[in-house]
Amino acid sequence: MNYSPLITQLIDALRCLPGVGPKSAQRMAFHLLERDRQGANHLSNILAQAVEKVGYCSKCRTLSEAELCDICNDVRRDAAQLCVVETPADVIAIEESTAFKGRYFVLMGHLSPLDNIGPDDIGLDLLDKQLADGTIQEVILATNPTVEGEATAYYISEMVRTYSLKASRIAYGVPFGGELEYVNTGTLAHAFAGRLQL
Amino acid sequence: MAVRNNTVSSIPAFVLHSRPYRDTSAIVELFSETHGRATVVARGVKAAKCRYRGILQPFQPLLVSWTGRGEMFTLSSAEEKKLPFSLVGQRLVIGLYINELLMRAMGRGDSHATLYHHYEQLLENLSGTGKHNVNKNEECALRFFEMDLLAELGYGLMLDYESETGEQISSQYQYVYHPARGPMRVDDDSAMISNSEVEISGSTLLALHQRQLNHPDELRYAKRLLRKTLAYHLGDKPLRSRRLFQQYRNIAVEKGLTQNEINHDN
Repeated sequence: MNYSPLITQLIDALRCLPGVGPKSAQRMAFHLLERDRQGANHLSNILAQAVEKVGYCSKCRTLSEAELCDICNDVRRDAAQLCVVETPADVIAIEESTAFKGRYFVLMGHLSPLDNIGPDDIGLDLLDKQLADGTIQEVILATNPTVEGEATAYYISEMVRTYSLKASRIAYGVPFGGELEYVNTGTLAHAFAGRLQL
Repeated sequence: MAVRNNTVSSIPAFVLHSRPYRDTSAIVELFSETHGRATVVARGVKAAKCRYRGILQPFQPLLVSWTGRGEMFTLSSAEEKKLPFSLVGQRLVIGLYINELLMRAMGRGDSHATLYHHYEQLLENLSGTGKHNVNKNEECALRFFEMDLLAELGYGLMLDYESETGEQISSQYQYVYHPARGPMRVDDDSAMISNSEVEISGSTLLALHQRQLNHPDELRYAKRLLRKTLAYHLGDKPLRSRRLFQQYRNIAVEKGLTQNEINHDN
């Protein structure tokens, strides 16, 4: 059957969310209209505001509605350590699981020549300026352990090297609680090569 | 046109490139030993429970199966054949360059088994522990792979005889190499050469023919010859990874590092 035009438009609009197909979009639309008009109002307000106001932090390039994000603005963070990650979600992941107290730099992607993404597309010109600044002492490369992530990490480590600063790469390893038998060979080889003395 | 059903089971292959598709899937360009280049959809490859999550990476020797018809197939299984080739630093960028070159050079579905073995051999030569710049042997291996690639496509270099006169190449003379017509001897320096031609010495041509590049000059001219010939046959749209390699090298140049540290080019 055909819904009225606005309902159809709402269902279609909801499908832009990741993991939302036609069926779930329909369920969401009916839920908002039938049971939670107030929630729907709130959602539409916040969504419009967020889209309008959230931009990028001028220092670390993560999503932020202020000129500087909270982390860059926090004077207690150690400005000598800089952790380079691919996405804002990676910042959250590291914040939640480590005791890292330095600052971040978010690339919003990785180098991928075959997709035509070069150094300037991931903000490396901005990173270069910050390295030249003299405050940063160590750069921790936390790009993904993929071929493109590796290429990106090496590229940045070369930049860091020209300033005679320290560059380090996060370790690879066997997942906690995992079993060696089921770990893929590349991961296991890396974990073995990077073993630690006890 | 009849659409043939295409099912392959556990054939050796490498990933040349992959790009995200929908939420958790990817569209993957494969280079397989028996079926050449193929495009497959890897469904749910980024989901936590996917069996082959994390192994669909370039330079990882795989055994893959796919099904389907038409231009794009569905990956039904993938497993590691052996350890991935570990390419680091500049060698990694060279690997990406080779993958880009192969994507441009190979049509879908043409079998290139010989080239597949050359590719495997090249990755073997490039993988190792050296952290920074490529050495001379690795650069030679790259040049020879480019020659093998051209030969496989039917554009093999003419290195021992002059194309028009049929005379043997002599190390005494200078030549002008045209990507389609091959080498022609030049007697004086005033000869006009077009943009697609390269001036090259007879000794470099013979060195390439014997696959014995020893002198830095020979390497430099061999690189120039292959670059022009590849551009002529594959189209001169610039290769992105070559640009990345140059940018990579320029990091050091801009900051005034010594020429010795940076004198290798892609």
